[in-house]
Amino acid sequence: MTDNNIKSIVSEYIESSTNITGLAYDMDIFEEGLVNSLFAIELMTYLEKEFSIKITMDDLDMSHFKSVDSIAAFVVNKK
Amino acid sequence: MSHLSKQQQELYSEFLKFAKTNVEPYANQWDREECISRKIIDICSEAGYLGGTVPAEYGGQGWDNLTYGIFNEAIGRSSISLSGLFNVHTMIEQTILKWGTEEQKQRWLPFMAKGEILGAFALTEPEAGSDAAGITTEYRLDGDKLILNGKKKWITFGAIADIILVFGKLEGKPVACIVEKNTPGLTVTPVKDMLGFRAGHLAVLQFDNCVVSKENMIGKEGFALNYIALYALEFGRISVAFSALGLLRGCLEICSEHVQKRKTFDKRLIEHGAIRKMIADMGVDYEAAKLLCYNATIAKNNHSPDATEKVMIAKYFTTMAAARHSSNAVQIMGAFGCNESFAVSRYYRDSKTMEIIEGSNEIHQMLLGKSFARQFGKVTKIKDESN
Repeated sequence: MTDNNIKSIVSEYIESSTNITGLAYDMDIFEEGLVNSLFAIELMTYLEKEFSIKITMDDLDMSHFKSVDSIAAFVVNKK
Repeated sequence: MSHLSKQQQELYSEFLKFAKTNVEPYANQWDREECISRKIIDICSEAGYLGGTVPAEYGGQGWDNLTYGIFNEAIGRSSISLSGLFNVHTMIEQTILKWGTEEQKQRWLPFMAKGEILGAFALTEPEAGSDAAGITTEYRLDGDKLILNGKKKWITFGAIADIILVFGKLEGKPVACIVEKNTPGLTVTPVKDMLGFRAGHLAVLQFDNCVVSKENMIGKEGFALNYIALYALEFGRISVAFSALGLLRGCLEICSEHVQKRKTFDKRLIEHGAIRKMIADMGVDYEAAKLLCYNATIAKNNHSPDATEKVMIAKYFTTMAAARHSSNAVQIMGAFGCNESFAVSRYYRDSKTMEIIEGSNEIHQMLLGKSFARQFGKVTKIKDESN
């Protein structure tokens, strides 16, 4: 799976939750107030299922999850 | 069409039968005595229910969220106090499962699944409830140990729990550690005279220089409130929502039988328009609440992005409906509804409590109101065309 495919899947997931269309891949979704930490937990669970990765407490660094770009990089690194 | 699979329908029948046999006949007595008996906890343990949501690899049943929900509905229909045990015990199991190390999972989960170790969740303090960030319980680092000082209050099953997940702050950062009940410096005082959940073994927990191993910390520093507590409370909300659904069903069953038997002015109660309206509203809200509860847990099973919100909606709607209709149930039952020998009076008291716990309904209003406004409002932040 390419980096762009991952970004597309993650972007679609976030958009479906936030009612946003055309989410900027570098937008900080937490700082912009689009999502909160409750969503972050759902996001992590979704990433585990969708990309067959295991997210542990050691991965709980919000810089991994702040934007589509950073989430994709994190997933690539975990796979 | 049923939302339940054939297996879930069979399990629901089993849960109902279990509750009608082992719980319902004793629920009023437990409520009066303010004490769930050890015997029913042992019976639940033998049935494997204390490990319902724990994966088979750790000795549990591996239930999905909907199955856990319908279990709570069946138990809540008979005893809200007993449903509180599954609520808090499951919160601790799921917390360890999600955020614990493999060593922590092996250390506690197989024993919790068998009911040999009971868990309780200690977040609330005398001066900090909904505003969880205001907790003052403190952990202090002392070599490779943590020293715990503080006070927790209204802790469900805190009076008999073997391990307690205690939230506090370490150098200002929120942390959560498992504290064992026999830890020196821990004083457990049962809380009596509650309005609802009277048999739920509530307690005040006082920690005076309790020594806690650093190995008992779940997750890492700084994430205890925003991640560990919120994650656990979501399972709590599922339990409360479905238990309230069970309470609503109990009201409907008792009132439906009564209004078809009892006569006033030469007419059965159901022939009176005002009574029929109350039964109709009760039934409609039960059906609506059931769909919301099922929908929420199916969303959580599927890891849908809106699962958290759906769980909140289910808890909010169902507990409000339970409070409204248990009040009407007392009205319909008349003097029977005002006597503690009858379940309706207990339902009425328990339902009020359910609007407060696992995030008060006012907190739900704040979060859901903001969320709906965001979902249905216009959004202007769009990506650059180069993306």
